[in-house]
Amino acid sequence: MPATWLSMMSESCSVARRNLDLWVVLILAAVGLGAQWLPLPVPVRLIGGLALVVLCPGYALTAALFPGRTPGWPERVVFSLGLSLAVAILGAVVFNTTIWGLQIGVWAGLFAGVTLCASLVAVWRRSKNAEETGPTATHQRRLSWAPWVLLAVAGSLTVGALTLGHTPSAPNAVVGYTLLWITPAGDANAPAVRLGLSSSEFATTHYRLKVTFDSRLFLDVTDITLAPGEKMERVIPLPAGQPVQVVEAVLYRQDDPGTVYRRVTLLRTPPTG
Amino acid sequence: MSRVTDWHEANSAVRPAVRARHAVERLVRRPDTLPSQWGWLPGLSAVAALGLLTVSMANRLSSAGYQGVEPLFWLGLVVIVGPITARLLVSRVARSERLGLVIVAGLGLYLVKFLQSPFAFTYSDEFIHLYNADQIAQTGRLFSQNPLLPATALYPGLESATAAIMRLAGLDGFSAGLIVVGLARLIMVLALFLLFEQVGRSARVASLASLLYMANANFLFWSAQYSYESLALPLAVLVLFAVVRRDAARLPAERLSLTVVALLMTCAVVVSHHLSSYFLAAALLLWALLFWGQRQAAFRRATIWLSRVTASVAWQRLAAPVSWFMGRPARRPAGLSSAGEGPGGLAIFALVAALFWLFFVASYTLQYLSPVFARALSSVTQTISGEDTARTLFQSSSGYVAPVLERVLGLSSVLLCGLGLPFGLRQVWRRYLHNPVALLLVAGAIGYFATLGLRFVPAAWEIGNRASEFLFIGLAFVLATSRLPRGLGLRQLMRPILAAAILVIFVGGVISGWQPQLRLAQVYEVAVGNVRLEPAGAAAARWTLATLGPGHHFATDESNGRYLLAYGEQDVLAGRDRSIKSLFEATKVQDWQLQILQDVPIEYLAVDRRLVSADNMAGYFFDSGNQWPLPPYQLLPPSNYTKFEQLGQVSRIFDAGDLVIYDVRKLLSGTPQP
Repeated sequence: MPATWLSMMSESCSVARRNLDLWVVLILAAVGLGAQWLPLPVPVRLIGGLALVVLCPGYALTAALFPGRTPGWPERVVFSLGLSLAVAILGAVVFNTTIWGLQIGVWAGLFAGVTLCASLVAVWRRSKNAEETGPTATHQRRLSWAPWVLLAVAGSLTVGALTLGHTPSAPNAVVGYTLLWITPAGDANAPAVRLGLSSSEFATTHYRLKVTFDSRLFLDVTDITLAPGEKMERVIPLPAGQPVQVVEAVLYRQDDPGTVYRRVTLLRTPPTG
Repeated sequence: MSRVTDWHEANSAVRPAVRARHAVERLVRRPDTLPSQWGWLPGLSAVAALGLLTVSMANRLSSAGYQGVEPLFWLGLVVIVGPITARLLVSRVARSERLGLVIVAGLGLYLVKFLQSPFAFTYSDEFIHLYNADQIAQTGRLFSQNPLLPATALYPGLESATAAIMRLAGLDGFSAGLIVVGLARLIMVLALFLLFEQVGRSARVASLASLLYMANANFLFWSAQYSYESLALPLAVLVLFAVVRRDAARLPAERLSLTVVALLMTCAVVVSHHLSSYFLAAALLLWALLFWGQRQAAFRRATIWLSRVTASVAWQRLAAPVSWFMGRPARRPAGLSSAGEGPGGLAIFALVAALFWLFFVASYTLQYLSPVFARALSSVTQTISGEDTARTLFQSSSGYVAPVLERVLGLSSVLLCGLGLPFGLRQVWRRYLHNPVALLLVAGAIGYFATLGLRFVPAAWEIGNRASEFLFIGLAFVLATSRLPRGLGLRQLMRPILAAAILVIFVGGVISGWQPQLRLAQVYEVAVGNVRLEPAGAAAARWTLATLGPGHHFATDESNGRYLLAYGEQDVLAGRDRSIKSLFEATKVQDWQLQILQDVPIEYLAVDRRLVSADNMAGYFFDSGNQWPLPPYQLLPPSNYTKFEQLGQVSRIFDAGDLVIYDVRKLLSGTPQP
């Protein structure tokens, strides 16, 4: 009896060891799936979600299609990536025709479902090819420390290059800008206009804003100061009882007060009846 | 013994005899083919990373306004590619090292494109596909209308994968798109290597051919953009590899598995990109034809006859130089041959699938592609007959003429490919004459030179340029197989000469493939303190979405049209579509133009007075200069943009300086504004 038990245990361990890669893939898929609904940290969702889309289904399919020791790693990598993308592409076409469409649950179910089913097939096929897929002695030469150092240098330089490239440049020799806009606001009983101003200048800028109703000056704000990236918006009620047809706002920079910097106009339809 | 044969024989590893032979072969295997040997890979990876850092610095300096930093960019590229080229030319290099080096080069060059536009997609097609991906992620449905390029929405492969990552990993469209195209690049590099290795039976040929493919004019920038072809072509190459592998497989189960892979991938290609699916179907059909031809008795008789003729004394006397150069044709199949079942069934499947998708799902593609080819055909005829002037090489549509050195390198690149071709054909003649895939690749190589003539034709140059991505696969293989005849006496100098030649081909390809003004990063995002600012066009597009809401009809130029589509989610009419371009180029608004606006009906006009806004590759960045307004030579004539003020019934609702948005609803429909 103990001999049988030991034999079963040994066989179970052997099966588990043989399918270790599939366990890893299934755990990754489970993390990706869980991250859609559980409050997991953002990096976990990122890694789990990415693995669920671009790795797990393709890897499991490759394992199911090629249960033996072959093909080698380059073929497995390329088939895994290609099949994962194919699952996303073809799955989208199929589920687009359903009433659910491509909602988050459908996406997650598709990838997790394919991963699970393909993994089960892979386990079954591997068990049939146990002799072929059994662990083999590898004679890979271990890398000494020097290649690892070089690889670390390569990684560091690449990260440095990407960080440098992804750092926005200082505003040298380029021109900033200011946005001015006008849109209708209020309603028929309390008509108004909404005026907005946003600075994408590279330094704090001082403006002067003049608003006219039918060419009559209504508002003159002499000092508006906006820092880079700052924005202001203001609703200006129109005078009651006096139908205004044209609202115009003109913006000046205080360092060049004689030049119109921005100008917007809004034609209004006078209320009928 | 190559790694390819490892797999074949491992299939039959269940047999003890084969196992024993494996063990013996492992013992006697040359050290340079040990799969675990990394060789120079770590060191050359560090060198390539240094090259990448150099390119990054060049981009950084360029976006900081420094002039003349282009040599730094070229230095970086040469540092990435040069040492890897030199190493791959060495004979005794392990397969794993070769594969690793090819991956480093391929991904390194992809990062060069990333460093060129690291903050957002800034290529014209990228905006269009980004919009499609956003729509799929938002609506959960495919085939949303794309107003700028409707055909793209009908091939949603790239965007489906992107949308899946966006939804499940919580990334934005830009990051998800970068990942998908990066994976596609990895697939391309691996699939090319494996395909070439399977056909050429040599890891050296495979690695050199893969590297040479990176020298095609579109590899560095065009094929790295977020566009449907960037994904579909790698998948198509993967199909070709799977089919080649299938024909060499011995076990039925393995053949079946590879057939499943090929079928799934073919479907994915068909759903992803029209031209790639036609390329795949055409390649498989031609291969099937060659396969069929080689099985005919006439072919066998012909090769036997050729062998006898070339071996005869009379031939060697009569055609001594040819005989010396070409040698004897291959007698026996090398590697893959016509002994398998061939790709006939898969070719028919690919053709039927592509036609099904074309006629039942994406019939608009005909409307999209046929004018392009019709114009090209007409232009070819006119150019040949002298009715149209030939296009000047190395001169952009904006009038920029490339420097002499660039022109010399560009032409040298083509010349070197042409010089290498006969030597490659010689090797095919000697080694791969019985290999239908090798002959297919030869057809691609010759086809590449045939399409070069299109570059002189004004309306056909783009077809020639785009075809190179596909045909260069064949040329890369043929060039990689080439060997100079021993009698030339250049043995000592061979490697340096070949390395220099490959570098010239690579540099020439980059020169021919991308506008010189846009090779380096332009200013897209600037930092002022903790604030990050983006160009006015992007800010305007976001304003329209936030203030006006999505789905309004806009008429505008090429650049702002893409901004309004991708970031404003607006329904855009731009560029040549319905002659809308003429509205912004004319000094007066004509009645017929108003009629077009009314027919749509257009609600808003986004008018950009910068000349560069009409350029769908260059119009997305901060304007260089010191202060607003820009100098007059960078602007449209004032009458072109002030004319809209004089129309009456038009509100000027948004002003960003050079970009103004007009509300023309009242003018065109007479309906009152809210």
